[in-house]
Amino acid sequence: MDDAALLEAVAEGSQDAMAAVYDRYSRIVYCIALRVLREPGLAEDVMQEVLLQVWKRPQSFVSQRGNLGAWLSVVTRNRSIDVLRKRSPLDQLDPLDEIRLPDPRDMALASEQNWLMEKVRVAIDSLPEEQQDPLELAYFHGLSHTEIAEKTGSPLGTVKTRIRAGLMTIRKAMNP
Amino acid sequence: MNDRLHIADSDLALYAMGSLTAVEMDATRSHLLVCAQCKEELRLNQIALAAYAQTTPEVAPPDDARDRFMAQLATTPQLHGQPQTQLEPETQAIIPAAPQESLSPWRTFKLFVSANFAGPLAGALAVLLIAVAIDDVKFREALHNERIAAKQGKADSVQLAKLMEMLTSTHVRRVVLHQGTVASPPPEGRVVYEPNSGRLLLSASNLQPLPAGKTYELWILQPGGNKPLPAGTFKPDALGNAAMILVPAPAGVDAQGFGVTIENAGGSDTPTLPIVLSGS
Repeated sequence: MDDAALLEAVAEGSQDAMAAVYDRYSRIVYCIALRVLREPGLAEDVMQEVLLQVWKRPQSFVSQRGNLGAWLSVVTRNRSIDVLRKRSPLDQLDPLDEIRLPDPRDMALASEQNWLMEKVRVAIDSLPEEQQDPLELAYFHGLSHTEIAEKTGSPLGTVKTRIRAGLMTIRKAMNP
Repeated sequence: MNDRLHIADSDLALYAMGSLTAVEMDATRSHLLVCAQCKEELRLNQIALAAYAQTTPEVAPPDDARDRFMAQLATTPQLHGQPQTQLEPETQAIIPAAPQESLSPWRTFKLFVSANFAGPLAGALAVLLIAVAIDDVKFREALHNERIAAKQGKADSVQLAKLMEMLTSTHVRRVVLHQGTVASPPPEGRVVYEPNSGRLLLSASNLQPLPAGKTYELWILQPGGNKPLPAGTFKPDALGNAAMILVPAPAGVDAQGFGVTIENAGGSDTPTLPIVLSGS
């Protein structure tokens, strides 16, 4: 059963369908939360919260999108950063209604084709450390560009340039 | 952080990660409301970041986490019909709740006046509406004078009704005056919004005709990049003029600006780009 059909079943109140969503996506959601929070208990809390959002409002996802994995990844990262910064759900970094989802067709490629993910991994690994680190610090540690500049001792402009360069490398790997 | 027209690419990358300062985040959000090019650049960054997130080596959650999740699921109700987790317009697929049937501006006004204003105040309101519709300094001066007169009990509610009927009639000529000769005047609109009561007035001119099944919709832009709030739908007459008079709008909003989009008939809960009119 694909995501769209699964979500339609969830929208009809099927707990079995929601269990299937859990089985399909709990690993990626948990590992992203763990990467940000580095504490298993907190990571599980975020995982449960994010997946329960799907249960509470499945109609928000039932669509032609079919890229639930990508959406969950982004939401999980953002919610984890909120927890890291100890923000309340009412003061989220990126409220759910503001999250800009990638185009479903694009993300179908990204999420469904392992080889593409592997290309992205290789591209990231190929980055020099001075580019990998600011990207990691910004995305998975939730640091601002100013904080990264202070932490790495690099000028602010350099931090921005390196983050941008790292992101462009990923984009090129996805769309050579 | 940006050139005259666009947000710098590096800042868009940081915005996608929430790594800008609060002020920069707000400025970027505002720009994205009106810039398709930066919005597209942001979308590409977000695709890349979603992929970046998914490259994280998978780790299985604790064995008993599934049981805890299912137990929580069993006690968590689903929230049907509450579109608070909508996604961006271009990707969200939520079916918006059926909009409330709106009253005509004139009927709304009459109900509003009868419910809220006794004679003297009504005269002041009528002049306010004219000021909105025509945006003439002299009318604003008249408003001031009328307010004084209204306080003195000299305004005439019958006169108010006539003024309102004229303002909302489809059988009058409305002309926007410009300096010099304007061959093809651009669409423009004026909004007055009173946050305390949610009262809102809009007057627009030179609007493009709408395709069948479409309507213009006014949005209140909130600070902090919060979701724009719908503030009423309207359609222009054959000459491109439109007005919304005292349409019920959300109250208590610290409006950062206003925007107008084209939506499906009946209106939408989230704006669909492009924004055809905006101002702050």
